[in-house]
Amino acid sequence: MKIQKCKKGQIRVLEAFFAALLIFSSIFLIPSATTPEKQDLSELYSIGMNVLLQLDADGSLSNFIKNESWNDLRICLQKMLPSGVWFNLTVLTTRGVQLNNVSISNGYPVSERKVSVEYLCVSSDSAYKVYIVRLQLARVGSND
Amino acid sequence: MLIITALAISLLLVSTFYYIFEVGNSGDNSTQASLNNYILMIKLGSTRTVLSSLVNVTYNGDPAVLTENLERWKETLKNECTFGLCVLNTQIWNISPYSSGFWIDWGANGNGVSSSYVKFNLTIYRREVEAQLEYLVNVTTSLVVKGTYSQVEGLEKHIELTCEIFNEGTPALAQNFTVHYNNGSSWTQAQNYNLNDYGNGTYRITFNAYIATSTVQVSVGAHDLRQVYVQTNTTCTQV
Repeated sequence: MKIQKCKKGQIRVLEAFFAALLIFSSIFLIPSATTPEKQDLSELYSIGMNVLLQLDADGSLSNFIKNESWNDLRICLQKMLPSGVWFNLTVLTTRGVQLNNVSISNGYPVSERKVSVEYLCVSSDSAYKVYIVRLQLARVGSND
Repeated sequence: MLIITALAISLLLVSTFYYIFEVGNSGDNSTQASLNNYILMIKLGSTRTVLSSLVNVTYNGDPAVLTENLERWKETLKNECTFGLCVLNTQIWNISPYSSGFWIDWGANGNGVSSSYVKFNLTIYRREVEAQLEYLVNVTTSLVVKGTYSQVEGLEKHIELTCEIFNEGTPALAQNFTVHYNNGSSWTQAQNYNLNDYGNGTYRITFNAYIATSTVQVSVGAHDLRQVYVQTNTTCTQV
């Protein structure tokens, strides 16, 4: 009788083990399902940061800001960013005053899922200036 | 009953595991790449800060501008850092030939130097130290001038100058050359000189001038494309 009870217990333990395994395996699928979204945003961040670094490396970014050539800056961003990416750029002083009086964007945002890249641009003129460049990016065609 | 217990335990384990996974995930490759780009931005900003100060000083600015600009850069970085806390320490170079971070030598030997040198130490903190690095920023514009002259007629002399401009030792382009010569009593600006640009950082300047003495002294000043001014004097040899 005692031996029979023990065997029943063993089966239960096995049952519990398999149930746990089943639950584990199903729940492990959740992170892999959410990863592409995160990857997409970090990819957008990386694209935005690289574009700003490229623009700043030869001094173009600070020249656009200094000369208030907002339209030229918009055209330049449009050429450098991949198609299918919405952008909106804002230039601020270190005190938070917005410098661009016109919108530097390629349209209206079509996605709620935006990424914001904050870039510090230093002017190399004799009059030292630091600008905060905020670039918002989103994928066109994202349904969220 | 046993299955429900197993379910509850599993959920507990999974949620713990998932939390650890998410926390660990924050330091993944994409975050590391973003951090690397952010560090590039800081290094570029540091170089620009030093460059701006050098431009200012070569336009007769106060050398204290370097300290002021560095303080502003450090403060901005501290307030606007998107990667936690960015602490930037600076050490202005004071070892000869540098003084207060600058080496401005516009001597009479045909070699002119405008240079600035600063050592940076950057630490980015988040939950712990994310990045720590030390880097040097050296912005140097140098000008080498060699000159010859030949007698034309009377006091008139034909002067030929070869100017080479360098940025951190690499040939660079220049603009806005100003040429002066010593006519025996005072320095006069050469108005109508011919400038040949070889496109590789070498320029040939020729002009005629009335100089009373047999010693022909010239002074050449130029801006590189970064707006740093440099000048030097030299004595031309007769050919």
